[in-house]
Amino acid sequence: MIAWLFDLAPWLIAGVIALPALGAGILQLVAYLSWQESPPRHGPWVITLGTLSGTALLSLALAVILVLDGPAAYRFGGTLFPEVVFRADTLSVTIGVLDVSLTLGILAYTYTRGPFGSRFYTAYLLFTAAVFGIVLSGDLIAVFLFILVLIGTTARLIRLGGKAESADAARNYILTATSGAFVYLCGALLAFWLAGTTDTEALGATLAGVGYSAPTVVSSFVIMTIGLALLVALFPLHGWLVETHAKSTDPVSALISGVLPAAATYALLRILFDVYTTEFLQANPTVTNGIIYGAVGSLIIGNILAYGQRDIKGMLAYSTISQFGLIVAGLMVATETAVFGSIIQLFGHGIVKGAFCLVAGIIVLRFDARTLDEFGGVANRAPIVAASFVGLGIALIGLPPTVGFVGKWYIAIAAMEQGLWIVALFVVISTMLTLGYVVPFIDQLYFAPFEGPDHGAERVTVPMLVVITLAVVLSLAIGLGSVFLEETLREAIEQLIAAE
Amino acid sequence: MTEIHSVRPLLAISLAFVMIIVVVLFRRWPRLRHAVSVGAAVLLFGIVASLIQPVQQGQTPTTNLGTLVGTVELSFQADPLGLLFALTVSGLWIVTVTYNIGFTAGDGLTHRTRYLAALWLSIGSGLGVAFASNLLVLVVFYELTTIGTYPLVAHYGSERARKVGVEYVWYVIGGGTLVVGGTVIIYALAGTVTFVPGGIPELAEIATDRSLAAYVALGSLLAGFAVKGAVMPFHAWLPKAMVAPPTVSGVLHAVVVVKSGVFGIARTVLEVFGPDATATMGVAVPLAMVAGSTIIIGSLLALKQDDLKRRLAYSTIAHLSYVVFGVALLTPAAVAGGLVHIGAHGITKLALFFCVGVVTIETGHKKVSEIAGIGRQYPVTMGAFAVGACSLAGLPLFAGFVSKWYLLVGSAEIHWAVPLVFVLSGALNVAYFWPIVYAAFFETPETADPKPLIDGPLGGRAKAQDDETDESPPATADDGTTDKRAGAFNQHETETERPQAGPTDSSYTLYKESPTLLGSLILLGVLIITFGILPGELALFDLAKQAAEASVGEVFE
Repeated sequence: MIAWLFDLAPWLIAGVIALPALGAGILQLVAYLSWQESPPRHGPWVITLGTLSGTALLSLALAVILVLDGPAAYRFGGTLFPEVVFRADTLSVTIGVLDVSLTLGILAYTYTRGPFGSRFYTAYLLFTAAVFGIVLSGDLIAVFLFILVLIGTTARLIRLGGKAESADAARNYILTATSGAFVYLCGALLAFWLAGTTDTEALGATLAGVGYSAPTVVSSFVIMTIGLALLVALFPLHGWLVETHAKSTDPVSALISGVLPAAATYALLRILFDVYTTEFLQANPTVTNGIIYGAVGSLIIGNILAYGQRDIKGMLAYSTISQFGLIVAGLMVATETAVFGSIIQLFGHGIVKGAFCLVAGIIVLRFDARTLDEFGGVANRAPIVAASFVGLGIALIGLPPTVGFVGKWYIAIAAMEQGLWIVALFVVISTMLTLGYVVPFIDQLYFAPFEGPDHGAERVTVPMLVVITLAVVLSLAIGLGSVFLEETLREAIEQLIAAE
Repeated sequence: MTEIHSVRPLLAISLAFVMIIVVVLFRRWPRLRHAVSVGAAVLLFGIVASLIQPVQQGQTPTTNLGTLVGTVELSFQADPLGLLFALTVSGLWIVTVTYNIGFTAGDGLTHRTRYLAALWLSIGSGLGVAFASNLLVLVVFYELTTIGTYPLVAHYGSERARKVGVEYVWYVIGGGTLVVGGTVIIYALAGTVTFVPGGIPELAEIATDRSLAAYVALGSLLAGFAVKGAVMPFHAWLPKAMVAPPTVSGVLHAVVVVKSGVFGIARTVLEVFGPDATATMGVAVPLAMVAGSTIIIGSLLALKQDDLKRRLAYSTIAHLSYVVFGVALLTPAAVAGGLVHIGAHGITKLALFFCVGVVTIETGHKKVSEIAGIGRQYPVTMGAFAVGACSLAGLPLFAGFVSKWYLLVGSAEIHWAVPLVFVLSGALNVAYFWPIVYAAFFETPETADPKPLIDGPLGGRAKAQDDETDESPPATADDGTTDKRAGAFNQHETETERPQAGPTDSSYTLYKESPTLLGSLILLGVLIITFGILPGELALFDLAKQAAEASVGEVFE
């Protein structure tokens, strides 16, 4: 009976990618057939909610099966076009769950405030599907194709957000991100030329034969990493994130900050450990250290640039850049502890930053407050929103016992154990740097006099408050319960780190 | 020392955290909120006090909640040292929360829900610091105390209060971050961060090799905790934090915050690195020297403060270093004396702050130069103040004497000259408290005269004699910038920014002192004297001895 259920895993893998895509198709079809005259206000939203709930259920089922039964794979094609393998383990499903919970949570915000319309939600569903695609594909070229889909849908989301400058921002974003994707493709093709395959596992075996210090192997890795680093928005390839963040509506910002770099980071993680393995990192200390210190640089500079921001969304964007510096640095330390730290940070940051963007959105909705100076005295009128802001701020700073602290703890411990003093030092110091730009906002929220307009509490709906409160609770719960996550992910991480 | 399972350590901590929610839920019924708070405070103290007996029998009641991260457990234990601190926190909290009822009414405080909730958060996290069974859990709650106290420090919301609030966060989170760094290194070095009386064995080996990592770890832990413990040169935040309401000052100075700093130093020296490793690494002597200088300089600076609260703040800085000094001396009696001083100073300083709070509410006076004759109007208040002053000066039959006696005996074991620090400090204590007591009881505003002990800059720069002597002299080199700015603020800004709560005329009515205010003052006064006469009857003293003996060795009688 149980075994029969476990056999479902490959279908679930296919399902989590296909279901949102299918939902997008249905949404378009319904819109084309019956909504052309007078589109119902909440029709697309309902279909999206249904589809994403289904996807969430599927991904949870997949997670349970993977935890109980170990990794699974789904093979697709093979007759008409080359076979593509999708692999899932507890790590990939973690990012999948992050993706779907964020897209679901953001729906609570868009129900009343929009954007409305079937075109937006089609892109929204395809976005979800593309993230699952990137996370689950075990093939370099398939990852590339999904990245292209992701870029396309993100650009549509930015443009359909309805802000005046968003069309320009979307165009710039497409140009930048696509060039990053193509850089990545060059690296992937180089690897293909060397090994004759793009399947990650087969590639890994063949590249080991070619030799890890061969210049071609090294350059294929470096090229792919640069391409992905742009998509992760590491300094100095971060410009697009700041711009799109500022110019898209808040729910879209939440997706961009929470999910987009996470997906690219996950692709990097897979390539790093499945294709090139830790032996490659040891064989090329220059490359490894280069990326580590580059990432640490991103961590520091992101934080420092955040100081210049009076606008809450600019602050959040730079904070994202710095957080991903931390995460990538953790990955490159490449021990089990460090990778776990990065994963929990990746997950936690997604939740926290997504919710933070929504909180910023809620404050704009009710008080028209965007910049530090406009935030004054909001806490007296909107205590729950302000308390959530503080809770998320504490998680962002990385104070215990939130998830932000736990991630830093693991990464710092691992860096110490590997003798990477400087990394550990900066990971610890980044707490202070983050503190410096978060506390002024909290100070304003609570202690400055209220001056701005107040559009009334009814603009903020109960589901919005539930979602942001839930995010705060989650950030605490993950921090306190990190051990359970570690238990769940341990096997997958061990397999990831273990050299083939 | 046998470990027994008990939920009580966790129960105490969670009660405080649950009270945060209760306070928020009862926001529409302020009287009920106060009543429940007092009730919960008594219950909390009861839970903590119920742990005394098992601990004195050599047991360690422990609540283990499983793993927190890696191999570090989320576990709370009531060992002698932790219980000592927890008793201080929960005992003084009863008094504080009672006083707070009268104070909030008298001061016309706003945002009372936030205020009381933040106080409960500070208390809960303070208990967490006390009962933490390892460094990481301690760090978790140590940072939480900061989160709880930040809104309290900035409570009045004036320009000045907000600035100080942010500065406070910078200081203490900076210290907290150093502690986190130290913890990370220790975990990487030793593979464990669980407290062991006498030091973590795995760490002792590494420490005796005098490796750089061990020095960095010990240094950052001590420096990090020293920030909250207001050991010089990390003390500047404490006098500035006087912008907060007096209840908060009490919590900062006596109940939780600064105490958690010196408590952290005690844990680090006694139960993380251990006395042997600390001595081998040669850190104990510099630490003692820093603490010793803080005692002297802090007391000297207290002399120069005209603002009552600032005078008390510098006095706190000096007295906290008694604890650090005692711990750093590493002789059993000195360690025991230092630990007793956590409690003795807590009780006393709380009384002093509450007296000043009452005086400020009733008369609006905040300065030493305005205090003349106050004692005749408010005999109970100033009487309690006098008792507190005697205790801090270390006069026999008062609480402060007990700890000071052991500190004197313990320091004499090192060298005959070491006790001079305490003798000198005692004299300075008399010097900065006596003028207040004297003026309050034996002078009237008409006959009052300035009593400057140091009216020129330290170091002896020539100064015109006919300057207004009640103005603080210009900042001196050793406490440069902070003194200048903070001094200016105290002279001019507070009074214009903060609405004067009480009437400024000195019409005599004893009954204006609300019963909750007076009651808590009398209780504290009685406690100070009881502690001074019968130290053995109060568990604090035995616990301190037990803690010192577990780590350092037999305290001789």
